[in-house]
Amino acid sequence: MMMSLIELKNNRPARVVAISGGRGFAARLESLGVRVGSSIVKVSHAYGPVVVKVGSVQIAIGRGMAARIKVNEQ
Amino acid sequence: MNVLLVGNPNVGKSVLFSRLTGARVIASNYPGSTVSMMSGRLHQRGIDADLVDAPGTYTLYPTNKAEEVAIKLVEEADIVVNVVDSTSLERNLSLTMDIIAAVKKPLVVVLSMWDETSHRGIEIDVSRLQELLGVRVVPVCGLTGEGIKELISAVKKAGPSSLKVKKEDKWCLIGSIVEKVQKLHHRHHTFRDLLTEASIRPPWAYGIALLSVFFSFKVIRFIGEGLISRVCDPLFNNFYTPLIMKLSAFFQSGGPVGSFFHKILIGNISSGEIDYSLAFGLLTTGLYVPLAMVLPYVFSFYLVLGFLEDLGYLPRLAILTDRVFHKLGLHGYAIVPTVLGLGCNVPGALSLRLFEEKREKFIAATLLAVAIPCMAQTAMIIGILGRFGGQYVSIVFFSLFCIWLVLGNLLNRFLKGESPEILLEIPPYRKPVWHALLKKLWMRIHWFIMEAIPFVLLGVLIVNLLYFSHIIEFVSWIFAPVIEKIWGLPQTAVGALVVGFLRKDVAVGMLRPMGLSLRQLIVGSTVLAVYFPCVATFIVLIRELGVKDMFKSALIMISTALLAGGLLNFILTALGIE
Repeated sequence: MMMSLIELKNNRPARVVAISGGRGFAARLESLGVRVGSSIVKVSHAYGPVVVKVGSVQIAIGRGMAARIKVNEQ
Repeated sequence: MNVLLVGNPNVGKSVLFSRLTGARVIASNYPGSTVSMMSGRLHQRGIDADLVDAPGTYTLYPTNKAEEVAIKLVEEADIVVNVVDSTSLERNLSLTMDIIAAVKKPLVVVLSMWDETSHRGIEIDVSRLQELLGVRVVPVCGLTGEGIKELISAVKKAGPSSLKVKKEDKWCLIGSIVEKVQKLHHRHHTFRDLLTEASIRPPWAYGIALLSVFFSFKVIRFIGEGLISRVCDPLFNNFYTPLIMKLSAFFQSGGPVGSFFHKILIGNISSGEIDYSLAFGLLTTGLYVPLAMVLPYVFSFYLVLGFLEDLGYLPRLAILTDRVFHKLGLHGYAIVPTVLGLGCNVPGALSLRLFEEKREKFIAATLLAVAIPCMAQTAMIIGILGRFGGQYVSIVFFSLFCIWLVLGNLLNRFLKGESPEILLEIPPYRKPVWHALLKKLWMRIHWFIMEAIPFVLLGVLIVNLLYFSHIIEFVSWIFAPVIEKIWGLPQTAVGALVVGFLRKDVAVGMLRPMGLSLRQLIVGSTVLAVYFPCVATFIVLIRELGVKDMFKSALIMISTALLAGGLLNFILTALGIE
């Protein structure tokens, strides 16, 4: 089921299926290892940015940005 | 010959740079601690070259200023040393591929953080990686110096990669390389993993943040106070005072010339005793303020800050404070200039380069100059107001905090544009290494001593000249309405405002000999923090913001000082604090 990174629950692994927004936004995410096809695990989102784990790296993503990243739970 | 160190942010380039050149550079465990390029001389083991440390970059397609700088440097380099974090091989190899695709230059790949791979369960086949990339690959641990010798000999024999990289299948290629060279071993969760999660996930995260901030303050205060009362004061009283007394007697017997020198060098001594914070001579207050009142706090602040930096706590704090900063038109990473600014506004202002948007920079710069007192100033406020009780020190800091919140909210509301969002890599926690921590502390202390003491002495000299030449009376007369009516301070307080442009600590120190009331001391300390940055910060801010924006920012600072100082005076009077 496709959902945004905000809707994904903590500790759930997922795969990125779409990133909407400008090329600059996608490029910034890609440079941090988040691109269509990446496997991620959501770490936290309670108050403020969403934190995800990509490989061994943790990344904090602002909520507005996180809403534009669509994932499939696995 | 020109050798360039390039790599992702926070992979340890700066540590490696100082290993290779012997130069002293500040390295910390968060992305962006090097915001401009550093260069030095690499001259050891039969190599002699210019070594340049580029700011961290994720790609060769620029997404911000620091990356633009890095790209230009790659184009200018003769040999490129690509520093790759071996605990995050896949992500880091992206830049390696960009470099190979963009320039046909001799390249060496350094696998940094090599010591961390084993306890993270990561195994990398170095010789296979070397084969696949077609360049020399050297594992290095920058903090211990392991692998440096091998790195230098690899640089000497470096050649360009034979690999063909096409942009479209970059990730495919990286994927296949990583699969061939890296093995991940399963390992059990460690205490570090637990701490990593707890310090990001509410509600634990807030508890941890509050505790760490609280303890940081306690430790800074404890060490600072301890050094003053057990080391600095005894040293001054037992060894320095007798010297000064002899000198004083000598000048007093020297007629009018002697009395002039007495005034400038030693200042006012009454009844054969020296109160170093009242005398205001170059050799008394001029040395006592920086060495015995400020330095102990600068030392303890940077000890604690260095520990938190190297541990990697600041990015966590950035996540937790993101929402608050968002209301001020910033994002959580503004915690970096804020915390650095609490030490000294100059490095705080320099780190504004972390921000890309003009609006963001303007707001962060204005808030830094208005509401973030540097440690020198804080130490003096504690020294002068603390004798009446800690609650009065708290009033000053609470006022500054309110000014910070209100002003930030207003700027965010009235400046065109939106608050940017955070996008930040959170580095793993790392155990601070003592010798690295102490080296960094020493660099900062050294910088403080070299930068601060001349300015403090100049400040004290100017205080004396202002009073000696009676210029102060003229300036006081002009500003009297503002100072007396709005802030409720005596006319003479204008001297502190003049000197505050040079050094805020001297300016706060000047309030004491004026014989102010408690209320006047609180208002005076707050106004001195807010009204304008010191000259060193001012120069950096002009460079970072441009003259026009700095002018706007300065108008905001002065208006804030007038309004907030007036309001504080009004509230304190209403509360019955005289």
